[in-house]
Amino acid sequence: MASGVLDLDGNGGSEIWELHYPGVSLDGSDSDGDGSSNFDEMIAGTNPLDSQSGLRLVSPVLDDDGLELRWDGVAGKVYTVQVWDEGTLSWMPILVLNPSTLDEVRSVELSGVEASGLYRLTVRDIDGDGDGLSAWEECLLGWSDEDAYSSGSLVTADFEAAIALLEQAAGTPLTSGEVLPQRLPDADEAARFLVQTTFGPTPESIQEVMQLGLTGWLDQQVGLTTTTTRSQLGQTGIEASALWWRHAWWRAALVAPDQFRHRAAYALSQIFVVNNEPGSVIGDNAITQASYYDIFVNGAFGTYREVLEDVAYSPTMGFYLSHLNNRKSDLSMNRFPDENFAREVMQLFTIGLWKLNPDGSHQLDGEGRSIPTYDNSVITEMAKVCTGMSHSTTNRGQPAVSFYDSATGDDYRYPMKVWDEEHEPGAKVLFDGVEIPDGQTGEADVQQTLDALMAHESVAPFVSRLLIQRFTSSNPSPAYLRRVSQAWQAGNGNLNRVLRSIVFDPEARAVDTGEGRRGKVREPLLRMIHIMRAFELPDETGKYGVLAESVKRDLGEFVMSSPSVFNFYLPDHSPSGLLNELGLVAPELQIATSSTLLSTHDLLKTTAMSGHWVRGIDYSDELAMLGDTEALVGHLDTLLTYGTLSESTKAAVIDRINGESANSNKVAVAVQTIVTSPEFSILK
Amino acid sequence: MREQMNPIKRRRFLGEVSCASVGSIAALSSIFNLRLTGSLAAAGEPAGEDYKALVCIFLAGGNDSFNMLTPGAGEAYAEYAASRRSLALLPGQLSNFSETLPDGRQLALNSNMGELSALYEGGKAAFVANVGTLVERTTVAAVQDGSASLPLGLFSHSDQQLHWQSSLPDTRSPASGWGGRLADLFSDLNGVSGVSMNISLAGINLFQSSAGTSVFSKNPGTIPGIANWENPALLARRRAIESVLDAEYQNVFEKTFAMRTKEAIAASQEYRDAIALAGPVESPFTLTNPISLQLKDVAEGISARGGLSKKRQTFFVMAGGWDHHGSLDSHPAMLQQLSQAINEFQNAMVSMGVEDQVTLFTSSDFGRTLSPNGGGSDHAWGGNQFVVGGAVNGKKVYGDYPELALGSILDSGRGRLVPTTSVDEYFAELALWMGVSKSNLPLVLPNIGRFYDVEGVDPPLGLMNLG
Repeated sequence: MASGVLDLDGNGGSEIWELHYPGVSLDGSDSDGDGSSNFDEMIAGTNPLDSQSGLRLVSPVLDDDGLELRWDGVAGKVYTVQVWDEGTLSWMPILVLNPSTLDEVRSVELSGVEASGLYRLTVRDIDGDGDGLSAWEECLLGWSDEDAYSSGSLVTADFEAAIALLEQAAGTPLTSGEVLPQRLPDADEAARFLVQTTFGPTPESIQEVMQLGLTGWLDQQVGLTTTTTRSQLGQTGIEASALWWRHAWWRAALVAPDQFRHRAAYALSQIFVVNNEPGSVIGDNAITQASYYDIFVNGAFGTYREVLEDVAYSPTMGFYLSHLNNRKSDLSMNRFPDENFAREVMQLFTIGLWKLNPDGSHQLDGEGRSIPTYDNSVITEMAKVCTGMSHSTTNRGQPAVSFYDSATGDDYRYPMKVWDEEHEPGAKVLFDGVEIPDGQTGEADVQQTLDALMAHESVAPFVSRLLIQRFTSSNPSPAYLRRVSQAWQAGNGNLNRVLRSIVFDPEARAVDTGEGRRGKVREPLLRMIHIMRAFELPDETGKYGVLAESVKRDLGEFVMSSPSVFNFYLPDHSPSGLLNELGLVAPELQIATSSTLLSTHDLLKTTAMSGHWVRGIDYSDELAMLGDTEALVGHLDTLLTYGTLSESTKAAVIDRINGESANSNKVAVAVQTIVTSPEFSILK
Repeated sequence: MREQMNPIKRRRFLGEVSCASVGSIAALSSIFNLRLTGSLAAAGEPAGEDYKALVCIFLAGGNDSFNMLTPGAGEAYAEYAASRRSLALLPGQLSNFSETLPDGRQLALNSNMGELSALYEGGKAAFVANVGTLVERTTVAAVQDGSASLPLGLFSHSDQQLHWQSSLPDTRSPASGWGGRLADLFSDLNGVSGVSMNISLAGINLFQSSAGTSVFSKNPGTIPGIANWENPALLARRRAIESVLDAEYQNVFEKTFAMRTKEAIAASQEYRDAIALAGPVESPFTLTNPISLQLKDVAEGISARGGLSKKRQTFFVMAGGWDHHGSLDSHPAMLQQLSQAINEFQNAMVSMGVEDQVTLFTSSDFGRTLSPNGGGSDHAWGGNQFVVGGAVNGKKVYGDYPELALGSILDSGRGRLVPTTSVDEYFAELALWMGVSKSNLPLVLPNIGRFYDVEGVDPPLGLMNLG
């Protein structure tokens, strides 16, 4: 197992250790002058301020039985005895001691050794349960390193539980009786968390996260009253039109307090893809559009099963993937059930094409080949399940009396009903031999099928990967995906638990200081809204709208406007060049064409200069900082790039500020330079 | 965006290819051939301009192409009508070809494709019948008993699009498309330019991508570029952007983002200059037709070939909306749009004097079930495609036009027809025409040997005039 530690500031050190020894630097110095750096003492679990404390062998005894080595062992550490091998000129491990749960004297007897041998003892951390906390940390907290859910909660993984503990006002009690002081995120940590969980940090939300902690702030978010997009329709300040709903969405993204919910809804809308552009019965009715999207807004913290069911019964999806008015077979007519939704509900919304392990790797058959989750016969059977679905209402909400009743645009806001008169009779055999028995109602068939889909082993890793890609990382490691799949199982598909496990993962929390392969390209739409949230003026008229067509053209995407059910980009898109050579994917780069890269660049620059549409940009706070360029750049660095601006970009920003003669433009040119930089475009 | 890399990078790329195929003498000699191709092709064209371009029109969603190329009379029509039932076109909705197939069957084109019909009769267009992605030739029995090696993710849009574009249906995530591999082969033949040999009007796509080639992708009807990039009053802004993009980044996403943005800026500038030099395309296009809008830009990119130093180009055009599950009602009008756009493009090629040097071909995810699901049809496998241009051996249907009776020898269920011609054969013909030697075909189409003997004298299909 890899040795994880609870590192929230990206310096490689355990926050628990750092709180234990406040002010002790991990930059390579040796505070107690005992010859072991503070960093090494952290790894050994010894006291960096006590020169008597360290990893030391005591009283090695060589007698007839052999060699006995003894030392003061620290709980949760793995010790390895190594011998110098003249043949290979390297240290060879001869004994590995698993961690003890207590600080105690450890000893080993080495028999039959040569007195002239050269031995050494090494120490390291271990993360036996792969939960991101080291055994040493779990020992201090009184938890187990053999169980990723050992904090006392069955649904909160230890990593998240540990962050919550560290952030609680009363401090963190350790098994030793000591209490660690409260640890809250700094402004950069807060801003980075907000980039992951909202449509962009604002100065106010950064303050909130710094006061409440990451976990406390997220708890508060989940508890907020739901802002449905339907509720926003009346507040957009514009006339009802086919584009009305888009204005409502834009307003919610910009100013709704329940930001985490809306980011989750936006992510779900990129899984259950429907194109709501004007020109169709589902694109021309704003309330129908709101009814569909609000499935995700309302369901963001419920179970995936509930969202799946609401989508399956939605006439909007029924229209888009044509299971609305899907009729049973009529062999005299050579007519068979429509297979469209039947296929995509498996391929795109639940189980995918291949049987997966919890870490996302493919299950293999005896000959090493991937195993398909279904074949075409399953699709034809699934299509039979999806027959009989049609409107439950007619004439604007009056109860329908048959499958064939006509519907107006307004009837698309009510869930479909499964009408037995057009439901395919007989048993249906689905994937893995799941049998839907003969003689049931169509409703029972559909419900049982949805249950079977959710019970499939591939659902958790398949959907979790898509969600991780939207929030934190294009290329989650197998361990990351396994942890999220585990949270999915622990919470029975509860999305609140799944999303929390995504953002409270060791791979999501610390900035990548290693090989630089972590992270993702941020969607251009999210980058644009980030600028608007950070600086734009609220509008008294309520006009938060957007010129959707030009935004879509310039950014290459807009909510609910994907050209196909496959979303704007594929989860496995691996652009040619460096990323492809490294075996990495970057879905968002699929829309970063030669044209779109530059039109996005221009739109972000324009937004930074003057805002968008009717709303102006407000740099009054920043203009007040003009006297102190360093402070201004630091402020912008936190707000836009959570403290990751490179020295060279900072220099370019300062050049722009100094080179701009008009004071009123100095902030705008600085922001322009930052929002077109790689640092702003990439979440790492 | 840069398909012509600087010499050092170029060597590195070749080095990587040979590393990847260590132990294979055949592969090493292929690379030798690869370098030779440029000079041989150039030397082999004493007169006239050595220029060729392929234009791919991708009909995304799966064209119901048995309602495009259809039996027009007799027993074959009766079988078609019996299978398609409510979806069957009536004889009045079909334009019969002036000549029957050699076996006497009468085929017809959807009457909404009058322009294509005229191109066909004039010998400028040909069809390839029942073509599809194949790992190997197979039969209904082998499909049904599970012994056939099938394309991975058969019948799924996303997978079949990747397979049509890569011609690697037994690969789960193909890393390159056949147009990308074609470009790798021709990179020495084309001059130094920041604009790729492969230009897309429909975004980044696998067809045109490979390790050594990326796609120059522009939005139809616009010229890419940063506004006021050359404006001397905004030089400070430009300098700042350049210095930010020129910086060394550790994170691979940041590195890629910076590099791609730089390449896009340089390429868009070069493209702008090249089309200004070439002047406007005069031949008319109907710009309300989204396919015409893209093909106009293709004509523009072809006319700019001199400024872009190109002897070979590919273009990628996409038309969406062909996934007619719910209803085929819009299908005839879409075919009409397609036919109109292709005709306008062909006219432009004639007026530009490059009719014989430009070949347009269609691709689509798959054919569709012959049996209806009510108003529409579902995903199937083999389908019909067409090719247009002066170099096409036109007025002919290549491959075997299948029997359309349900339960016929190729019906794997609901009229999902097992393809009798592989996309490899189809594309091999186009690749040979572009100037790829037979011995180099496997570099472009690695599976070609399963369907075609590259040592033989016959062409794969006979579709193209190979000179």
